[in-house]
Amino acid sequence: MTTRFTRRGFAGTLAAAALAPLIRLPIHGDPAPARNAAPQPPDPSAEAQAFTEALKARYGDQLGADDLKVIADQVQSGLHRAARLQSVELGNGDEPDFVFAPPALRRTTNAGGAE
Amino acid sequence: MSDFAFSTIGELGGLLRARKVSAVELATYFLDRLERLGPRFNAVVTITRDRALRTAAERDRELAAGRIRGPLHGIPFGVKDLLATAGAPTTWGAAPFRDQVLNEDATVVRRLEGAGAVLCAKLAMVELAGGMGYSQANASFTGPGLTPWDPTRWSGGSSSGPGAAVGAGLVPFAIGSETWGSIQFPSAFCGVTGLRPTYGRVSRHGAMALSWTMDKLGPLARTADDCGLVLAAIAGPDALDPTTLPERFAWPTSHVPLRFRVGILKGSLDKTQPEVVRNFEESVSVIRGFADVVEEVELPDYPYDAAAGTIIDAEAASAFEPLFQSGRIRELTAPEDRIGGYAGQVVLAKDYLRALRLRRPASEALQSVLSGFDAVIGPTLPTVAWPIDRPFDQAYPAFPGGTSLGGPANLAGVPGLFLMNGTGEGGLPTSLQLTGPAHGEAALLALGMRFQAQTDFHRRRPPGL
Repeated sequence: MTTRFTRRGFAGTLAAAALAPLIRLPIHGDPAPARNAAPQPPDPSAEAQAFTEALKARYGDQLGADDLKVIADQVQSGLHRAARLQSVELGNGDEPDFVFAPPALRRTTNAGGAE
Repeated sequence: MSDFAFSTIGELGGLLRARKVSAVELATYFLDRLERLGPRFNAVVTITRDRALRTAAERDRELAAGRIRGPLHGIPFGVKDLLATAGAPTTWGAAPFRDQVLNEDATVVRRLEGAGAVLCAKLAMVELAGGMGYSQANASFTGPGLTPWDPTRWSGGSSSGPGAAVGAGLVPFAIGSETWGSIQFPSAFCGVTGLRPTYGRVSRHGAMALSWTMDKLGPLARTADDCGLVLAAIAGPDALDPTTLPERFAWPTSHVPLRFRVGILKGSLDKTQPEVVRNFEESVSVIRGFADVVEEVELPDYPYDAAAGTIIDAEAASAFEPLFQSGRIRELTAPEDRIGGYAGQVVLAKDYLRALRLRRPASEALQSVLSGFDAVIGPTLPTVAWPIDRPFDQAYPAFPGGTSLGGPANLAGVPGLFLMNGTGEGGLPTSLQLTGPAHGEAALLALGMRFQAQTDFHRRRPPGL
């Protein structure tokens, strides 16, 4: 199945910005390539194709060839998005923004009742 | 019978307490409207008539005995169909779940009924709250949500039913949810007032999970004051949701600044429809009457949208993994939704964790800017409601909008208020967005009340309703 417009398939279009709240695109685009950077390989990259092959191995009975082409583009968009996350420098002590508490402690961290 | 359809909670409550109408009469009035007009806008999944009339009769007995539970006593409401309600289907807007019945009430439903409100309907929504990446309006087994202002236009999503039902006067208020934009869009496109609370302010227990760390529940109603009344009833700690904040929320509040401080988001008017720009500028003129306005507020530079998207994709891939394993994802309505979630299955754990790690400095940086203001404002959306017969990206390609607080605010879990502020192309609503620091709902709502006290946009009715 091909879908002309998908959430990860039209990141470069103007409408992407308006749709970002719904479709979660990196609306500001990917980081500009450094000067004199090596030319980027065409999308989808070998890495995106490898992930798509993994999805095919797991869900291949659900997906046709056209579906897999669309998914490869979506995987590629996800990889570009992941690259943007590298623009923030993090130290070893920068922990994920969630707090795990063992059950006994968890009970005391929340004063609420289950009325 | 009187015309209650577009009355506020305060007005309806006054009539109830003065015995000018009974809770049963009010429930019957709105149940009939839901039944008659709901299908016109694809706004309703299930009408809970028996439950509503039974609850309303009990509220009437209490009124007769002089017991009033609070400002929501006897007020009808609806909920987005991702909130569990015992005895009625909870479909999540998705065909694979159209017969799902959960055997308990969500905390929000229980709290609202405890506050005296009367559940009248489960309202339509985009399938799985839009988590599979829909790109056109027909993405629910109940059909595309339609705005009461023009049924050839989209209601917005994913809280499509709450937006359309409140906008059409089918319920005085409704509960929607937002992970990224799902209260914002329907509020704007349906011309209603919507509040996205601070993450953790409202218990998510009993709500379908799309993204555990980003899902928020909040009200859509006629006015900011109404949103405050509803938030006060549903906010507060809940042992069934360990992410809830410990404090409760009181409304009305006496902690209102004599003069507000408001910032205008730099770049928020770029590539925006001229009517939206005009209405925004007129709104700013009104706001200057009671607020000091700072121009050109800039956001700290972080990859907010990339982090939010990574988190949602990874969490949704886990939340809905059984749908992929069973292949039932192929039963969804929108063709793009049937394949849109597979890529999320291969988000690397290290990338998800990196998004969660940078979320803290990004949120703190955003909070440091927002905490200098009662609200940072911009247009809620760059255009009026989109036509339902076109893919979203072909609706208004010339007006994609400028800088948006949607991604940053949802990543950081800070509150937002959305208010109708005029009409634009085709007489469709335009909307004003106010974003506050975490826990800043009271100031946002007070600011919204001041704006609505000096304007009448929240009193305008869709044509023919």
